[in-house]
Amino acid sequence: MKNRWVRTGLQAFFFLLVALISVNHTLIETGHTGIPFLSTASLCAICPFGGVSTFIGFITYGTLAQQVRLSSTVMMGIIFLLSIVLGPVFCSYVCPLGSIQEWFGKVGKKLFKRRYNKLIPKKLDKIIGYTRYVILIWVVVQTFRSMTLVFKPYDPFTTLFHIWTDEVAIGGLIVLITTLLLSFVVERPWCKYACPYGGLLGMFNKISIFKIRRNASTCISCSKCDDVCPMNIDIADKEVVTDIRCIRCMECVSEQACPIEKTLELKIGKYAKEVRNDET
Amino acid sequence: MKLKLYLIPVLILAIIFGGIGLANVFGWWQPYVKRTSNAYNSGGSQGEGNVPSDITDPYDIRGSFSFADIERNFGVSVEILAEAFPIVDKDFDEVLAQNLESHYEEMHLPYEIGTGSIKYFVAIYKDLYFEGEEALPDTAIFVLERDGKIEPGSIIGLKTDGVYTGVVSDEEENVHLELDEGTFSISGDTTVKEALEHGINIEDLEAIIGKIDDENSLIKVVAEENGFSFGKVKDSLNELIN
Repeated sequence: MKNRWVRTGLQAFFFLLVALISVNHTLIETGHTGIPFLSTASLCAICPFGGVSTFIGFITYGTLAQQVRLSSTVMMGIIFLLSIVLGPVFCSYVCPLGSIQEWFGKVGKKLFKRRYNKLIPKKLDKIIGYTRYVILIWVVVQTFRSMTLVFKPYDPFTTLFHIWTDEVAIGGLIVLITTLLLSFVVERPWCKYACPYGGLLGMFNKISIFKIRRNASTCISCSKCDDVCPMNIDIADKEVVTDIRCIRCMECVSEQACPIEKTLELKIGKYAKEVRNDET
Repeated sequence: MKLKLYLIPVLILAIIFGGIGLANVFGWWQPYVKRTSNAYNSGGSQGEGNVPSDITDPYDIRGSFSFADIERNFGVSVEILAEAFPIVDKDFDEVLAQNLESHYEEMHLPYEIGTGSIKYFVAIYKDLYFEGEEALPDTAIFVLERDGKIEPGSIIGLKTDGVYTGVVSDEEENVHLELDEGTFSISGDTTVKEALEHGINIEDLEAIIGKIDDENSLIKVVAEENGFSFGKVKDSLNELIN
């Protein structure tokens, strides 16, 4: 429970921070007095995905796509570093779009109980997840070709934090509303099926220093970890979770999910092989 | 080695804010427009002292930019700006983009005219890429039409109290497409290859934008790579076509 509250607290902090920065930017742009001690940067200037989408253009031409700032590429580097150490915790602890889907999902869980997040068959769920990489490739290639933010008109994140301005694109609004409505029945639908940045960060599950590991010698195969996983990953049959869909929310690791101490942990290095008493 | 769960938020905050702090120390944390060592001008009107002079993207125009800042960066003269957005009670050197909003607010118009309108006007005037549309006063439409930047009557929309919106209809987009097909001009998304196909010599092109390594590159990118402001060389490039 402690992990969940700490994570929710951090999600709320980043959500509020991004919202206030965006409001501050609008205030300054419209000639009003801004909020003191807070950045007036645009969202494009602090969004790490802006750095990703413009990166090839940046190394090829030495120039950034329109509206993207050097700080975006810095943020990209910082989040990559974070992901190398801990895996894609950006998705589960930081990303405000992920957080709002999760908060909508809490209502969905109350409405649909055990059917929540179980409507799509697991195989199909996994296949649709690859759409993220199609979108990622499209965004990177098209941004490189046009040097403009081609994804912005459809981006639910930008829309969410510009909802009070006239900069909202109809495409982004449709995607945002669809995402939030789907969140009532599916856990984090945007993250799972469409987020290009989540797809990219998901690959860090393979190489991160700390990984979620399961101690097969103490595991009682109760599959409670599978039940709590928001990304529908079968954890109980793995020794190490390197699935690209994992967002490192640590739900499976928490003591509420795993009843046996020191069985699922975020750690470096494998568990020592132990011979179970009943096998001797 | 096992990581306690409560350490995860600590590490996240340390890496993110530590990383930003470190980037700041090295001068890499640039959330605003790129600034160069000679980018600042001393004295002058309000806002002029802290506005960089190497901006080429109209999106970067901020509320604190004076008309003089906009002229220096985009080559649209303060006289033109003052004609397009007339604020009679101020010396046009002192008018800031953000002043427009309060000025037009008094007219109780159905659409907001402010910094976004200036960005849009500059983009049309200098034929620069701009995402979206903004409301423009009829005075700005008049200037654009008079100076041949738009076809007369081509920007249509609801006219209320002397204000046109900058919203372009589908019909209008068709007009632009036809124009694009008939009369070639160099804009931000024109490649070197396209320019060569329209009869421009590569030597003439290189004389203006510097050395070209790849014909598939955007002219804007090549110019900026070679240290030229696209906004400033664009007129010379279009003269090559004529």
